[in-house]
Amino acid sequence: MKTLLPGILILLFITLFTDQSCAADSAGIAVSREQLCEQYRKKAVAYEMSNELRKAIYCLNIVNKLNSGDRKTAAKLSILKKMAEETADRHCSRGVTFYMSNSYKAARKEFVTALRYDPNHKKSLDYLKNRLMGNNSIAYKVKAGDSFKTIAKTIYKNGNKGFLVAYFSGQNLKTKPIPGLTLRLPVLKEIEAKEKTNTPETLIKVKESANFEKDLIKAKRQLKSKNYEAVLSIVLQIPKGVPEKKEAAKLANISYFNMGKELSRKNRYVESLNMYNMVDPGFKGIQAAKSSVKRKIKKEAERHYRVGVKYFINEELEKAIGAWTITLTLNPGHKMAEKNIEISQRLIEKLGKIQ
Amino acid sequence: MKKIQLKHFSKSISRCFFCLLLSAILSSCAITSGNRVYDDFAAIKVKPTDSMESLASEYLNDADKGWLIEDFNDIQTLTPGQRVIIPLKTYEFGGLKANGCQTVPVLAYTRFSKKKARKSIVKESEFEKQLNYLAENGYTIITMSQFLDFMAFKHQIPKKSVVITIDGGWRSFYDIAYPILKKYNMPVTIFIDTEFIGSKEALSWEQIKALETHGFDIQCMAKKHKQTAKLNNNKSFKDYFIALEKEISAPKITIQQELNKNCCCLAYNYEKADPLITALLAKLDYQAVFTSNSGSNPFYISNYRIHRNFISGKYSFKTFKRKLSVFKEMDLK
Repeated sequence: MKTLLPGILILLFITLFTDQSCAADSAGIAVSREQLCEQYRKKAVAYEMSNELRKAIYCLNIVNKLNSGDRKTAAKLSILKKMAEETADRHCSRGVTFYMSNSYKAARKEFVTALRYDPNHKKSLDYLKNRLMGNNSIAYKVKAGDSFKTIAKTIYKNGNKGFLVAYFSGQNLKTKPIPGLTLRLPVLKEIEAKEKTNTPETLIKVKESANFEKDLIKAKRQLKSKNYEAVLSIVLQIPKGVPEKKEAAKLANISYFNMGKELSRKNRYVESLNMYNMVDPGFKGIQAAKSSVKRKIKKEAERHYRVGVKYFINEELEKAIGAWTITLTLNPGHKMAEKNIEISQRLIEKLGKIQ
Repeated sequence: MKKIQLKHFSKSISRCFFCLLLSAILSSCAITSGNRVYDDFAAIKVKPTDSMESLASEYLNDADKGWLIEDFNDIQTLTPGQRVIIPLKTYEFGGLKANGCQTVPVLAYTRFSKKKARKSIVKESEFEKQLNYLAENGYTIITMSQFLDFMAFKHQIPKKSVVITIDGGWRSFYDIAYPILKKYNMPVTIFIDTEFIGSKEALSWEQIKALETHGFDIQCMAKKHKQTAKLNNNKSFKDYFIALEKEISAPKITIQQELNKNCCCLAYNYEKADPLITALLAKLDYQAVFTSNSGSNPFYISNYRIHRNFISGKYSFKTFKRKLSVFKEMDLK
């Protein structure tokens, strides 16, 4: 017992001493973790408002993990993720439509936008890196009895190009192609124009044209049940130049307009304005709706500016910067918010040096 | 006897108790030391000894990735006690933003001279001035593999990224440009014209091997910009194809033999690559082709049509600066 006593005393001393230091440290960290969560929550809001959904998701993910029990954050995160995926799908559909109507520049913009919302959108990446770049190839499934010469005759209308088929099959011209194997052969410039009429996209176009009327009926049914995203996913697939396009455009306008109205009702004014911007300028009521939401955005920007001032007076500089950042995302021309952020940042730097 | 055994027993119990208690105290301090590492980010409390490089080295396994911490946290310096987030996964693919996307200029130099500048010869002093400008103005010279990752939409790169390439394999590179590049510690890709190597004004294979050992990336260049592969009336399609295949595959084979290296890039002075050439390049296992078309590169262009900005010795410094565009404005809302 004698040998144990000094040890226990030392341990008690260490425990008490270190417990206090750790407890103090822990309390300090708990506060700073909360601050960090708050900082990233604000960043997420600012990103969401400036339409940088991916970054908003990344920031909310940080909050969610640092603050694992917060159901509200988890719910918001899943909503944002869904929103990003749906927006990406919508842009991709529009991109395909543009691609099919040979508007490659517009198609590229849509596919890039889709990837901005969802970097894992494989279809958009494939269109961008391959189809839009003209890296087209012809797929040919080898049949029993085929030779490289007969394949060349079918594909290139010239049996002498059999050597080319053999080369791209990775085989010798003297051997026989393996039945069932799918060969990927390059499109040759000289016959490209002829081949264009048989590209898979043209086949899709032909196939789809028969279904456009049915698509419109489906879209109208979705519109009745106020399922606007579903309406858009149907009507944006209808290419230009077909008679049903006019009706499809009308349905798209109604959907965008109503989505904008719903977002405005939920006080999501920036997203609402984005939706209104998708509507044709001549659509009834769109100009009034746009001006109304723009006024609300300005008002909201002012409200955040005043919140920032309150924080500043209370010497909560980080929070003030957060509020003014939101002001600037809502109203990029707000000079006072910009100036105040600079002043606060300088003050934080100075305080950091003093500490 | 029993008393001694009891004494030993109590001693060992006290030691065990002491160790357990100490480890518990230490581990609780480690938990509360403020650092948390998740699968996609790490939340760090900055220690007085930390720097961007040390944090990047510890958490991103690459000391050169300090810029990722700076960018993500929107900070330039670290303060002890400050909380920072270190992104462990890419958070901005392709440098995409609501108002546009990142582009990477690939600069192409050919020859260098100590005294006289010509169209394809850049003066030593001018080259140093250009590299100094890049270093002083926040540009990061990235490696070929970083550039290819960016093009493949895999990883993000610093906002102001630039690639430097040197064409041909002229000896003046070794004598003039190499010491300057070494001074600035900038990675460079050298496209070697294998037919030219060994001639009077060219590098030798020994010099190329030495450059490779010093971290320079060696890649292929289509032989002498021949453009033999142009299909014309005097040539059958088969002859055209054989010439084209030889022109594209020969440098890769030679470099494989000389350096035991599988090249994945080709500098190719054809302005347009048709689907046949693209298919051939893919078949020959090239991942990227650098053309003579000027412009900066967003991620979405084909890897077989990468643009390069040739830097002429006759360029004014203003023209050089114009070749460094790192962002393309687009409405991506």
